[in-house]
Amino acid sequence: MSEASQSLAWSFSRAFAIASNTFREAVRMKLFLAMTTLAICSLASSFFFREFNFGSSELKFITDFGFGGMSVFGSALAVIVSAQLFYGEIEHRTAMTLLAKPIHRSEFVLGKFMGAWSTVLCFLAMLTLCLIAALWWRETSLMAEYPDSFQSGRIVQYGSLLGFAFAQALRIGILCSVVILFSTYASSSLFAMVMGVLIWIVGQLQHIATEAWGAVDSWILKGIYAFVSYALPNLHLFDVGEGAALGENLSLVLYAKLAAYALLYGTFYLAIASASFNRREL
Amino acid sequence: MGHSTWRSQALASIDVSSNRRIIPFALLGALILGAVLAPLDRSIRLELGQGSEVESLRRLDSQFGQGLSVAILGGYRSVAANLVWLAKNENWEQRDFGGTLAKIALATSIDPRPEMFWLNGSRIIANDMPAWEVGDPNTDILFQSPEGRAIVQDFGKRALAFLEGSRPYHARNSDILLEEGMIYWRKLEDLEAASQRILEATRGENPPYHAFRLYGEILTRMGRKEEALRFLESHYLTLPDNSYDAMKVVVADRIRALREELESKAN
Amino acid sequence: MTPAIAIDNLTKDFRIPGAKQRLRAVESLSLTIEQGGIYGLLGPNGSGKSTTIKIVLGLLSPSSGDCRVFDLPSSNPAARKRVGYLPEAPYFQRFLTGRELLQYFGRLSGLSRERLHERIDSLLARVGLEDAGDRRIGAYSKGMLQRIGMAQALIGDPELLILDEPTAGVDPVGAADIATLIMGLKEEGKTILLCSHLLSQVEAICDRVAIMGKGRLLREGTIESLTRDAGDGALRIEGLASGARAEIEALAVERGGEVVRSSKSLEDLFLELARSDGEETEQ
Repeated sequence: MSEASQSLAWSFSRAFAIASNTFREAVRMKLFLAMTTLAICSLASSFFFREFNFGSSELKFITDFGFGGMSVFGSALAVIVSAQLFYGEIEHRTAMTLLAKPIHRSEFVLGKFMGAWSTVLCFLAMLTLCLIAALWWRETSLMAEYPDSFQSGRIVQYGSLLGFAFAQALRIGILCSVVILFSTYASSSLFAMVMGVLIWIVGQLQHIATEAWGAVDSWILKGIYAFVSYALPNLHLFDVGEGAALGENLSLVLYAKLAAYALLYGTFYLAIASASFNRREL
Repeated sequence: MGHSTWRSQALASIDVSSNRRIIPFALLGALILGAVLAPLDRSIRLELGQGSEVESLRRLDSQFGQGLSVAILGGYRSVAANLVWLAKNENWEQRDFGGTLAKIALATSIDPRPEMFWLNGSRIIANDMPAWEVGDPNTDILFQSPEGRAIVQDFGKRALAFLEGSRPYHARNSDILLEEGMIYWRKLEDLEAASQRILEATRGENPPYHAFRLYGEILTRMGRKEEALRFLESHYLTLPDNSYDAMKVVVADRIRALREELESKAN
Repeated sequence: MTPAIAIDNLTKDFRIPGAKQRLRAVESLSLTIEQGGIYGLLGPNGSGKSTTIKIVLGLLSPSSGDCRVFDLPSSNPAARKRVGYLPEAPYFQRFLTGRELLQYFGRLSGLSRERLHERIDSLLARVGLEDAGDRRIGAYSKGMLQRIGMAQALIGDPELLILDEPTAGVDPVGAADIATLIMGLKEEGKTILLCSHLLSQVEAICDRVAIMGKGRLLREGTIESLTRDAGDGALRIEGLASGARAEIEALAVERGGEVVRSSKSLEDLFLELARSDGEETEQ
């Protein structure tokens, strides 16, 4: 039998086995519990402001706290969990036992990504449910208290809340894939986390680089801004919050575009991560 | 720590030895991907109305330095703006002109996206500040004396200047255009400018039903009753039957009244 | 028959971060491990054993030379379908039960759910953990960890088993059980590559042994051939009845010889080689 015919077929099932084991490990991490608790407390704290405003302003504040929690805590969780779950396997040498099995390294990379991402999706889902419950309850009580202000019915677009959560899930998918890429050649999880945070910040500000690089005179600055605007994903695109909950409904086409954007970047980073990890010596 | 030891430790934190050949390909791939996705990026930004932020950052930088700009451009940007807006209430209660204006400006600088900041901010400037200027016992003079009307007009102009700052983010926002129209109408008594703004509001994004009724009304006030009638008749045809906000009955009554008035005039 | 492992002129260098020179961990190693039997791989710390094992498992790539497992390049994941590996001091996720761990590794080895179920039951019984399969691994003792490690190495019914210090930290009774298990696997026709510092154990169960030092192969052969005293005219006579033995001793003394009752153990040989290799390096 030739060597070419004796190759191991790539299996999504093996990647999924790694993903589900990774997820089980991740939701047991104290960090996951801490972040979820912090985010829900942050949401609950928004109720403290009810005495100052009522109507759409108060509902906006509750929404903003919820969105902020999803964005900030979700991103932090994505960076830390991805780095720890991936690099932790290498650090504890469980990766050696795993990779001594008949699996492709790219299956390992994809499995780790899916496990980390699904962990943060779990967090996003919990926070979204809490936010919807909080808004529904508060809006109902406001409608009873100030019926004239709600003649046209409820003003919160609950469907759009789900849209925002979806957009955050996509953004976090990109972040997870970036952190896993850095983890494939990091010798410590700290390096991967630091790089993940850097990409998070620069990705959020990338749209400013895009606007700014045409406006500066210095060629060095132009080069830097141009590089940042092309080489890094624009994570700010996924901040659909303002348009979502209390304003107009965003189109399904927009969400499809965001999904395509995230899919392409995520696939690119995971492909590079697989190539990098294939060359890593354990 | 010696330089060589520090360098060894830094290098030890990454293991690029086996990946050096990948790095240039990865960077090139990232640049190509970014270039390919640039049109999609622009299309999404356009649809979301994510306008220019460079200018707002410059304003913030000049006041507070770049650290704040970076700090606020994260997921809690809206929260930061909300907290500033809430803090403004204390200045408002104390009728502190400078403090109130500064916090309104800061809130809209941190996060220019919520229309609520612009609308309520302009209303504070146009409606509340004239009363602060003359004091509560003397608010009657705002409408009865030339000096009072001058104060109202002055704050009206300031409110319009404030709303001008919303243009990059809310160019076609009907509520903001309507607000400008009402300031021109009620504060500056400039019906021509008011009618233009209110007409723009009816053509903006998600125009409220009352914008159309207001345009009909202002045309009537300006003596352009035939035009008002035609406008309201065409607007009436678009109204749903089961919407409270549409006030179809009220519009119908207004059309009837205009027709009767014009017919009696003709006769 | 295709050798289980065929290593040809293998060299492995590691880059040292921040330094120009490289560390040579394995140098010009050539080794063939035929199918069937227990093969011992010995060497002091830093001799290149672990590096060699990692290359066999595809966890490292050679700097030069070739390494094949059942005639497939060791870097080919398909080669590992027929290999099971027990690492030194195995570490597994503590929240998993023994059964769940085996299910996990079984899925990675490509076993179907039905086959996995019966295989897990039989393996747990074989390694003596049938009563502990539903207990979390975090509650396992050292010996139990080694046993579950053996079980996961066997989950795919591999033809080649690579065991790195399988009895490290295990009490003598547990070590004896593991040795019995290994012998049982040999009788099933499996090939076992055993890395151990317990030379007495290696001497007891291995058929062939390779001794490495500073990345090079120092000696290789059967236990018997390695431990036989060479060049000093010593004779070793086995199988004599006690009466005949006494006659031989008397004859030797009569002819002017001296009877010296000794044989070089594997440990003696190992220490001799390790020390002489160290002295050569110093010179």
